[in-house]
Amino acid sequence: MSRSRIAFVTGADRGLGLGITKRLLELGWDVFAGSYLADWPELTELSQKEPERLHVIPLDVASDESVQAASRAVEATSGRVDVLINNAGIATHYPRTIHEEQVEEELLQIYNVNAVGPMRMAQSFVPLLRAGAGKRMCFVSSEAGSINRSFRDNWYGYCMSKTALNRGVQCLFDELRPEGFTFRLYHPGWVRSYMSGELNTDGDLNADDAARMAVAYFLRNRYEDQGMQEEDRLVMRDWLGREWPW
Amino acid sequence: MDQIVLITEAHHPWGRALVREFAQKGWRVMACSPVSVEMFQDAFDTDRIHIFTMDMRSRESVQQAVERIQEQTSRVDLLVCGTLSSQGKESAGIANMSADLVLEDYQANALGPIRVIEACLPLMDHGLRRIALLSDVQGSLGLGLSGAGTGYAMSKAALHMAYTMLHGDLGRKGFTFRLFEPGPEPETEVSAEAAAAYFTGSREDEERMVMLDWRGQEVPL
Ligand SMILES: NC(=O)c1ccc[n+]([C@@H]2O[C@H](COP(=O)([O-])OP(=O)(O)OC[C@H]3O[C@@H](n4cnc5c(N)ncnc54)[C@H](OP(=O)(O)O)[C@@H]3O)[C@@H](O)[C@H]2O)c1
Repeated sequence: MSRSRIAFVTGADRGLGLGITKRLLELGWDVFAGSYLADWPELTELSQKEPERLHVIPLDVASDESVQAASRAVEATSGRVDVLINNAGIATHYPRTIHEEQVEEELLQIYNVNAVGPMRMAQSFVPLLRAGAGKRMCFVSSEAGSINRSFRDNWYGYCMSKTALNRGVQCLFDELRPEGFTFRLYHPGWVRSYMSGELNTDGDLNADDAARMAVAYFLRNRYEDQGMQEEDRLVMRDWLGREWPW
Repeated sequence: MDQIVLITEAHHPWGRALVREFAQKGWRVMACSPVSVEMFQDAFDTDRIHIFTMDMRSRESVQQAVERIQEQTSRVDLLVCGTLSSQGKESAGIANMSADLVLEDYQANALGPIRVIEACLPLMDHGLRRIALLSDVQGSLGLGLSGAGTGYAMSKAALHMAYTMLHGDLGRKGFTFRLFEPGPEPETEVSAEAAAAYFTGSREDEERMVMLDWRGQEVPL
């Protein structure tokens, strides 16, 4: 019997995370899907169709306890993860400029989910990834975090959270690349998802198409030849394959 | 007419040196610090310096301080804000990361300056309109240095994003910026002198987003 390939996806209830989960199942992977929204049906329905291969795990990436509990659950079930996909993220409901009053609680919550969340996940899941085959960490970031292409006057909380995430991933890369870990830092495009609280119908991509492209990039190996390893360079790429400057 | 500077973190040795530099240059200084005023009132013996309690981690504290500053002046020409290195509290390495400290770093290092700027903007309509932000090369994505505490590096990167957004918005309204890395502790005096000269002088490329270290070297964001 061939060994299954195992991924963990955060924020899998809807949007891109649900799409990624479905795509991985189609490709024959076993998936641990972090569920934040208890009363959203799609992930539960999917797990009824795939009870052997899809494990739904309650997960709030903004909580140390929840992240640790999730890693213990995976430890008890499979003892390893091959690919970790940090997708969970929230956007702002108050896109304010510096001339307006910032909403403090929201600034902190966005940072806690978008920047600290993936770092918590990395911290708790490093041992499970070491036990796995891929040692791959994927991070759904955003063009909004690119300092060199920054153009917005509002959205401070979201933009800062993604820049900080990129810097955090640099630190992880620095530390873990020598051990053989590989990294994917990704801008998924403008997706018709639920980031603003309701379904955004204006985006360029539906969540399943966005997920298909994301998963293709996450799972593919990058160029390697004598003396040359593309994996030794950390880059942010987008759904069209374009590289984004920091 | 006297020029007026507001400086945060005046209890820190570097901040204190900067306060003295500005007083010597003949500026009036609004020196702010989270440490209670009595703790270091004697450090400054000139009437050019006014001391205020301000904790950048709290919006209320920032707003109260700015209200009290308004009793002294209706105008701030230059705002110098940002935390001075908190490195040492956390060590590098993901295993050592504390999520609570990562959030604390963000509170102080990225949100702190935003709170101060938001509260001071009404005082900056007239005058020099200059904002100096204190940062650290560890926040630079362009350099991608290793060895820092993760949360600290992330918070300064977030500050750099805020800087680019402020630069775009306020730059169109006549504001100029100084993003500055004060450097190591032993160089405090030299660095504060260089900072005061840099913060008050003009630069030929004000439109560009520039970060300089205390030696005048450009650091990529
Ligand atoms: N949509 C875009 O155009 C776009 C562009 C660039 C980058 N991105 C990034 O893509 C990623 C996926 O976003 P999306 O567009 O698919 O948005 P989405 O539809 O809102 O999906 C995000 C998922 O994460 C969950 N989540 C929220 N807070 C969480 C927490 N504390 N812990 C665990 N999960 C949590 C959400 O649950 P709730 O629904 O209950 O909040 C939701 O299921 C995010 O990182 C986002 O920043 C999106």
